[in-house]
Amino acid sequence: MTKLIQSLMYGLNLGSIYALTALGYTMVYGIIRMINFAHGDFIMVGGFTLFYTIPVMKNLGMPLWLAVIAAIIVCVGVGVLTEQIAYKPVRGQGSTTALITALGMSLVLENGALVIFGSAPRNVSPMFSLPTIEIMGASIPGQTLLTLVIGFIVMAILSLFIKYTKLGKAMRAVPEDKVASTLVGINVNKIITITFAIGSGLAAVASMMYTTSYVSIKNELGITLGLKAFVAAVLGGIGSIPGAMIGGLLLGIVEILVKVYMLPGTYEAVTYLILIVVLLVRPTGLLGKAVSEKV
Amino acid sequence: MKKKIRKTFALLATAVMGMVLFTGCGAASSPSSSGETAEKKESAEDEGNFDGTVSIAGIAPLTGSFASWGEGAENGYNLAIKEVNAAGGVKIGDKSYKLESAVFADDKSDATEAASAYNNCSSYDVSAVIGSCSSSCTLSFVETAQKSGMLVITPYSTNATICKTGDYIFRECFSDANQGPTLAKMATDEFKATNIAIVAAEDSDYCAGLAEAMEGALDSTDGVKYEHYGCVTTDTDYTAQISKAIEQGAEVIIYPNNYDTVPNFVQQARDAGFDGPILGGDAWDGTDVTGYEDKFNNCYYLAHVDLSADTEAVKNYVSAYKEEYGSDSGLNAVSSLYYDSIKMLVKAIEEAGSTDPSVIKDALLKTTYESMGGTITYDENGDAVKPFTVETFENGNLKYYGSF
Repeated sequence: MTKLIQSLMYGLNLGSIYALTALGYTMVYGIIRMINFAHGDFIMVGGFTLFYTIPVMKNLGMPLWLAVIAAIIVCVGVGVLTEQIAYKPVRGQGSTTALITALGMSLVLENGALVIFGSAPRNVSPMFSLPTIEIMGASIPGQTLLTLVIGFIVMAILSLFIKYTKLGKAMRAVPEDKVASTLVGINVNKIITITFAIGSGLAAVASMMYTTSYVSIKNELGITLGLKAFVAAVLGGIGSIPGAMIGGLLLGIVEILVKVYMLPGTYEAVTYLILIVVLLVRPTGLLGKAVSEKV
Repeated sequence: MKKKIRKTFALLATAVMGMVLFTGCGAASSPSSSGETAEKKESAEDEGNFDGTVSIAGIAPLTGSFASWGEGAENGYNLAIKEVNAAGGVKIGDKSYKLESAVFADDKSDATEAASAYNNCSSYDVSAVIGSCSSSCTLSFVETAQKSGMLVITPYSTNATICKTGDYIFRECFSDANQGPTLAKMATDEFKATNIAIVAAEDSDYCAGLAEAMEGALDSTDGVKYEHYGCVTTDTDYTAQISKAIEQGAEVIIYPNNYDTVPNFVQQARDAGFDGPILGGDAWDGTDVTGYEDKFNNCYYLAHVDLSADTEAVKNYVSAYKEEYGSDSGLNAVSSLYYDSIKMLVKAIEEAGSTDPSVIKDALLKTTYESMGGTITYDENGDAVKPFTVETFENGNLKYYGSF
């Protein structure tokens, strides 16, 4: 029983990181119907920013978590720049072109990081030392709880923001009908840029929690993480903010349980087979709505 | 349209999952690449002093996951060539030849790329190829080399099957056939463990081969219980394996995987409450411990050489390296192995009195070479027999623990 609870805790830890990452995917997809495959690499950029700014914070005697502000600024910068340089020119060329451009940008960021930072893995210094909490004989690391709390707060804020603010309303209007949005005075390009800024900012927050659990970062960090978070987003129903949260947590828990009770070496095959079955039964994902889209 | 979009999505999602599925089972490879780094080296030496040239070629991962090995490898390789020529070149009979590098190719830490790097090397008229680092990379070309009669000395690939490929394949490092049992013996004799957990990557020839050799040795040790948990080289989360190891009551965990994953593993093991010894193989060389110094106490790994050793050979090498390259960047065990490979090859060529690979190989088999890590002799497979150095960490600093 303790083993099961302990495994669930580890699953929550892994899943909460997938969830934070998936939130960024789903956010961008929900607004502009585009899968930003470079999102995983934004997290890598955030990770390297933390690697360089945490020692600076230490020297200045400031609280270390402030480094995340620098990471947010850099990630938002990279995200908006990516959008302006690569995605904006191909907007309106169809979803396949956008998808390929995103894959291309992902490779550009990975190899750009290889040139700038080299390929040697780096350790990000610990940002907080949180106590480990004991629950029913199982120990749960403090950062797991923090990641979960941050994940749920981000989810709540995003949901409320999109539902109740004027900007949020505009964000919902754009994917429904771009032309009509323009007619009622919405600056579509501005809305898309803001969406990317928010998505990239989320990547910075995800990178903070990632490096707290997994200390070693390298330029290829975004590949697997991005792929898995994308799967989590689709599993939860892409475009749905609570769905990303649930999809991420579920994916993490399933992965750990498969590792503990089945095959630790080939867990990915087993995990993703299970998920493919889920998608066959529910193609829209767990919380995905089959809303009709006006085209 | 709506339906179409949904359908496209389901397809796309399935495709992506398929991709993940394949990366899960497939070989460890890194798609990053940044162009071929093959270049012809020109030495400053005056051509006039030599009666001819002896060409060799090198392969190392200059980019990709193992690039931090590659930097040292190339430096050690070039330093050795420079020193050989400065000392009068390769002496065969009463003639002296200039040692020349035809090409130093990048395998990009990837087995497919390694095979083409080898083809690049063998397209030159070279007497031997020195390379590569990771076992998966070296394994991708040794068979071709053996068939075409090309002499290969791998400085750093320890997989047990490499030298069994044939009589043209040698190595400068020890073999996993010896490394595995030595790790097992350390756990049972040095740390008196009767309950051992092994966590090894299944998608790497090196990790899986080492684990197998270890299990073979543990099977034949009485009163020792062990469990083997798999993982893959791209993993970052080992909490499942670690909690199983703790549940089993392991006194020692052996983690024979590559250096880039070691910080994550050690941190997670310590966080989960495992305070016992964590042992690793020679691929731990280059592990970054910054920020987690205290967690690396009570971790040990087998090394080919102790670069802090107080011997003349090591001290000379370290000072020559720093003088040549201006810093100790890349000054690791791999660099010394590439350096020693060339020095040993030159010794064999001089003893053979020929630059013909088929003659050099017989001389190599009989040679005894004083490397920085100890005396090397060869067994009938072309496997180096040499002492094992054990390194440990003391508050983040590497420390010599002993020799086995």
